[in-house]
Amino acid sequence: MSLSQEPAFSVLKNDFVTGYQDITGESYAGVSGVHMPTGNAVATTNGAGPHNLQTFVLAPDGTVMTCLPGYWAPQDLVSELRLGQDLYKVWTDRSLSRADKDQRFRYMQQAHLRSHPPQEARRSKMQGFDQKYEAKNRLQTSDCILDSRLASVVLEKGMKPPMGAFKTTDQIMHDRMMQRPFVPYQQFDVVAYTDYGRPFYNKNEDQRTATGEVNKDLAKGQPLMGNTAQMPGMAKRARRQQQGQLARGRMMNRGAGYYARRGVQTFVRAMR
Amino acid sequence: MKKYLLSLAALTLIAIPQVFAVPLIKGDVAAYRVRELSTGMDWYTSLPQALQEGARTGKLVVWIHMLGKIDGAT
Repeated sequence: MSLSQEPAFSVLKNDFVTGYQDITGESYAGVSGVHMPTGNAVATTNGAGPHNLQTFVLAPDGTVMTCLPGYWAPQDLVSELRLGQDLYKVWTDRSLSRADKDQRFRYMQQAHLRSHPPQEARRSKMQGFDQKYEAKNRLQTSDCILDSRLASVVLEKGMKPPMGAFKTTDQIMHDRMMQRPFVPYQQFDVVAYTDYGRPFYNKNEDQRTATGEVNKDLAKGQPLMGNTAQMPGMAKRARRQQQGQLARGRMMNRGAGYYARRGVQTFVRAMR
Repeated sequence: MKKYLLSLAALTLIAIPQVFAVPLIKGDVAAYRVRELSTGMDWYTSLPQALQEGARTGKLVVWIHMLGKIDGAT
């Protein structure tokens, strides 16, 4: 959604060549609920859904200037696109050696992070379920965790992490990009780069009430897309959906049989 | 005083769910934005062609990995 909003829309249209690829089936792709173009949408936090969406800024020779994992607010996206353009100037500067370029790349990524306003840091708070995933699965090794003792608080029911437990997603992005100066797109390790939080990301946009709360019954039956086969609990979910369909079918047959015995044919056909 | 507290409690009950509700963009607005986005600029689905266009125009390429299609289900 952020791509269609200003200032992102005009910047993309006027200053960049745009393209996309469907990553369904790719090893690094996550899982999401199917969201139709006419369905509802919700704004989310920067860096949410890193497995399902990645925005690369590429030089015409295919070198990666930067890559944004997940969703980004329009104004923050534009700021990162401008960083990509500044990095391209460094990349094409013939007076610099490769080592100098790499050094400047790291410096500019770091400087850009420092220039983010506090509002952007607030928009870049990692989703609670992603924090839980990191704390549960890699408390001591995750590069998203600043303090493992503080981060472990999220594992207690109903508890939120204190300040300084987790990095914000803008920090994760710039820290990870600093380790990947001017990498060709074909060699860019998308799996490692986008690896934070759980692979299943879904805001249940079409399963919400008027006040924005999720209708859990509707959400359970929602079709999914992406690497569903690799999702933990997917077999159970598919079995549950199949059982639900069978039960509904049995109920309809029972109802249809009752009316058929009484000669109500139209109703039987409609039920079937 | 009691009346005042009761009014305050009623106001809180009404206001709190609104404050914490996720701002929902309605389907018709979302559909309009998707249409604007998918028709308002060219979207390449071949990376080599997008890079070629970048080289021709001197522009960088924004290449998006996504689940689904820019004008379809995502």
